[in-house]
Amino acid sequence: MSVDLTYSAPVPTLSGPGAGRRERSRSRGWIWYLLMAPAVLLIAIFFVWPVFLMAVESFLGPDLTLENYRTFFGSPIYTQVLGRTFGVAALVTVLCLALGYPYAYLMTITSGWKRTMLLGIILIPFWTSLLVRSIAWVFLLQDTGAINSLLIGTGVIQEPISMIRTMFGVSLGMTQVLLPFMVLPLFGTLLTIDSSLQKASASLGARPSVGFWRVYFPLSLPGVIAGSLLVFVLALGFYITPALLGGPQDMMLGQLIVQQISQVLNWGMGSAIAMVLLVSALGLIGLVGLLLNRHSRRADAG
Amino acid sequence: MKRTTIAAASLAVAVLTATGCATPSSPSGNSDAAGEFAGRSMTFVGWGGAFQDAHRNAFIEPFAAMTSAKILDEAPTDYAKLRAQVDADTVMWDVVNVEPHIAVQGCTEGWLEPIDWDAMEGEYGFSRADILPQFVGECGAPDVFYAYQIAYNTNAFSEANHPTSWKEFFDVEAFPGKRGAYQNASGGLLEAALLADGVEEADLYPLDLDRAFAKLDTIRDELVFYKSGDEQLQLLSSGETPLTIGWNGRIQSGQLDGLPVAGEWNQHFQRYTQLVIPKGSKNADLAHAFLAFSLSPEPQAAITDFIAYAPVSISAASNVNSDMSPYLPSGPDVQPLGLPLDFNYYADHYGDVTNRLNEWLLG
Repeated sequence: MSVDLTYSAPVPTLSGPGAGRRERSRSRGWIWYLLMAPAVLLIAIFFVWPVFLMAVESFLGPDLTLENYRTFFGSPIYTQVLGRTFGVAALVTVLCLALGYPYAYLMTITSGWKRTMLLGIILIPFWTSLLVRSIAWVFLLQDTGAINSLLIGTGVIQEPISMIRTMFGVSLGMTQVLLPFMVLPLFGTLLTIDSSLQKASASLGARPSVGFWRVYFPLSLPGVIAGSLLVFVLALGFYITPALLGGPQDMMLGQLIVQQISQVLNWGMGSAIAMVLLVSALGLIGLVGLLLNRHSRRADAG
Repeated sequence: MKRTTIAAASLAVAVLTATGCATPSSPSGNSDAAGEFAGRSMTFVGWGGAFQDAHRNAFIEPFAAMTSAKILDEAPTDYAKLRAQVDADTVMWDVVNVEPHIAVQGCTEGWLEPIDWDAMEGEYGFSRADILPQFVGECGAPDVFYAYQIAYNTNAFSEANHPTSWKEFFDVEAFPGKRGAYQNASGGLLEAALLADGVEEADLYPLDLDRAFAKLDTIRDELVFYKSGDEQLQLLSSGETPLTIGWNGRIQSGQLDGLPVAGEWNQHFQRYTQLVIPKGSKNADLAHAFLAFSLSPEPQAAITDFIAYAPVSISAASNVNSDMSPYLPSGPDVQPLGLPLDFNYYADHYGDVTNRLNEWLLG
């Protein structure tokens, strides 16, 4: 996503300014389209078309109807779970950012084996099955699990602390699972920031905190946005982790979709829930994009 | 060590079953069947794990050996895939193991083949009269039945001191501790709540949902919901939920593994799974032959060598594996203590009950 921002500038060419340059960039545009075609085709066939079919299904019952959407917005279950799903996704995004930013920064100021090790720590759990990691959390967090046994055994607490089947457990598990998706784009962006800029701000009298917030952080924003969007969108569709670490009251929309599609076999309702999730996610992302756009334009103007 | 014993035993049983059925003394219809399906193939889809192994050892391999047909077996059952295959007219599954409400729903909605009981009669020694009638469906042939029972952790409770009825299961004063329950509309929790609240067994259906959920309110803080058999056993054996609505096959396998778990038979719920044939199966004839074989007395008795699920064949009940019989809901002392969950009710109300349960869970 940071790529988009860098390439929005005119592409420099070797030849001088004028008509020749325009021609060159037009032919290059043609090649860009050709290179993009396979990916666009793939997305159209395997993503856009199924989503279209799902949208159609959500209005069938079996005749054309709004019934599924009426059920969704008329029933407290669905709207409540929708709100909770967005809430959890937002919380997990914030937690990932708070943990991931310093970590990614640490990666940029180290080098050699230290950086490799930091990268490895982030990547190794990434290669482990999601299910395995979620179950590992079950054994750690449950009332008779490792943490509670240790605390009770050493006399720190008498009664087990409820960690599993709570929002705490869900957020913790999801944050751990999604952290690499925050750290990797952030690391990529932070690496491109020229460290002499901060030194320059310091030499002009800025305190380190001012240097960070006014110089470093704004430059890292593309990475922050890319990582946050990635984590947020992935979190919206989470299924296994909340199912294992949350109680029934921590249900997320993904669980309701699976229930309707493969247990109740009400595909219309399942499709409608998925469409609401998709549209509201796209809406929110669009809104964020719009705000950022306005913000950056104002920053450019000022 | 244990694994090799089981493997050897399964081989022995497969051979015995196959040869046993092929002897001239077995009912007619077998000898010509041997040639009829030679070289054909069909696909069986089950739930995977120990249940799939049992199906393979007791039904699939002996049937393949006898008919020279090739039986592919896949797992797990996926209702959405099943329906999608029929909708798209690309049916690749021929026999699928499903829950009964799906068999009824698929029959009503027309994506399952009605079972041709007449064509099966007499084949491989099968007789419809030999099958427990409460489990027979229009589009579903029952394969085994099992129990949802009160189960307890033996470190927290004992043979002498544990809940023996659903009324006691709901009594958190007398029997303190968290209770596990299956997070599924037909998981037995609603029936348990109504029985605990004093509803007569005969008056359970249609379920009085308001009354059931009001009763559940009284133990809301003590309820923990599991979503799979593994999770159920893990919660029970760790003491996380010292009481649970247990599945007899899981409890038995836990006991074999030396876990501190035990089950109570009083007021258990009988559940069963069904074998169905997707509408448009290209091997419906072979599938019917497979059903006739699987429901005949010998394979029905043989499956108890592999899993603590009970035969639906009446004449197989006296012939079950003697080591397994204490764990089966088919025993003469045990069977009268059980009551079947009504899947005709769930076929019509599964979606509604699911929504009510979700609503209550989010409470």
